[in-house]
Amino acid sequence: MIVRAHLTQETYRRLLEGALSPSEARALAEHLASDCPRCEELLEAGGRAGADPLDGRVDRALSGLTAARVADAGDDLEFERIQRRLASEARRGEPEAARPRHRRAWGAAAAAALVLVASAGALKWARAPRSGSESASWTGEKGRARAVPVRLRFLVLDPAGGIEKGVEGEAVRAGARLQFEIELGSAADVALVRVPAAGAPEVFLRERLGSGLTTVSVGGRPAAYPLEGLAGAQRFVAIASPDTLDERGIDAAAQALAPPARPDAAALLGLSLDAVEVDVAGP
Amino acid sequence: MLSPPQRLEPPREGGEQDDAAAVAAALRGDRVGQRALYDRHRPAVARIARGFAGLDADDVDDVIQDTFVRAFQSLAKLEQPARFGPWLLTIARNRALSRLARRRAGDQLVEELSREATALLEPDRLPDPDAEVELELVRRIIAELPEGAEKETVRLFYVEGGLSAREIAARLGVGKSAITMRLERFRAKVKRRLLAEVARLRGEESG
Repeated sequence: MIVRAHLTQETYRRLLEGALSPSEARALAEHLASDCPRCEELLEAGGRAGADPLDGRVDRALSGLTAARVADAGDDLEFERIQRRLASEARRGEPEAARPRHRRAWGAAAAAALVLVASAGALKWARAPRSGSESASWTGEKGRARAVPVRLRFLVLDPAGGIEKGVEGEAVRAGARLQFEIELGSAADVALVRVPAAGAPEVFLRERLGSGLTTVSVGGRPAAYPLEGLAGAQRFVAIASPDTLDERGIDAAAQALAPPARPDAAALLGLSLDAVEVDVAGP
Repeated sequence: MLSPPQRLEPPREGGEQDDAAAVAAALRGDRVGQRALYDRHRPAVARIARGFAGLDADDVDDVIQDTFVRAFQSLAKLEQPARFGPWLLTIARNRALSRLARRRAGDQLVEELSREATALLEPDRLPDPDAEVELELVRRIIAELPEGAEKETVRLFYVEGGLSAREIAARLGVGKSAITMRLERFRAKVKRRLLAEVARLRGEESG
């Protein structure tokens, strides 16, 4: 049978099963190479009924369009919950039928546990925990009143290709890179500064950003900060201001944040800050 | 932008061989292998779940956990460990559809999607186009979309990637079902083109 007409469930099933002959497959490929609303309708309806291996390919391709969001990275608590369920279901020999919906509370606890706060005691910031990316309760308010709420988060990109959610204070390998996300409550001038334990701070990003979540990018592509050549504690600080953040202001703030940081430093007036710190292991 | 950033580089990603190694480790009972798979694929699983506007944040969390639990339980059935990614995403989509069906039916018990069990058991016999080729194909499809609501929705969800389907509905001021429909229509376009590519490769296999 040669397929010259529209796709059918039968043809589709045979292709998935590897039962379509090469000549049938070529005819099908030829037909599907052009726009065909009818075939798309069939595929759409099939997709609503359930996913098959081709759906997995589609989703793999679509997931490659953009870098992973920091907010979508996994965390220890969720992984532990998965492990507990695996152990529990292995003991019982069957899947859990229904589980209590307690994740919002757990999520808040997880967020609180993972809150990234600068280790400098001088920076007395407060934040409310939030659960998931859709929470509207988080204010992120720090610093002076009317400052822009800002949150800095990061992913650790391992040299071997692994991606992990960045955790404040953890050791990272020298060959790793950090991908930052900045969340703002309103539009602001933002600077990202690396403040080493010793030596001069380095301003490596200055940009006007809109409210919401932004992955640090270069030329429209997500970018990462390489830790190569660095060692020891490295503090990364996001400085945000609703007004213009000029060179002098950034330099003054960066110096004020360099150890030993001074509480209530004049240079930080009117600025919002968030910081993360990692310990770069030797090569 | 006030000044160009310094020292920043595009990210690198793990590949299929990394997955194969992690699957092998996980099958040996190595928890590190499971963790590697979880870390590598959790963002894509989350993205799939967030693409269903009918699911709330708790549902999304449930789908993510269910997906990894199902996958790790069924890992021994995966014949091609290098294809762990697409296999996992198939499970994720089915978990999301299943959750949606359960939600639509209220608290009534509904049958699991019968195709889910099939997807777990059936080997993936499709020819495998290069992932880069697939990605390029998707980019081309998006570029060819006429300007309008569908393209805007696709851009916000798949290209920018920062919003869930629910958030996009709120931002664009349209119903959740409209967003779901636009994303489904777009996926069907991508599926048709990938199917054509798969069929073309099958046609080249002999004769």
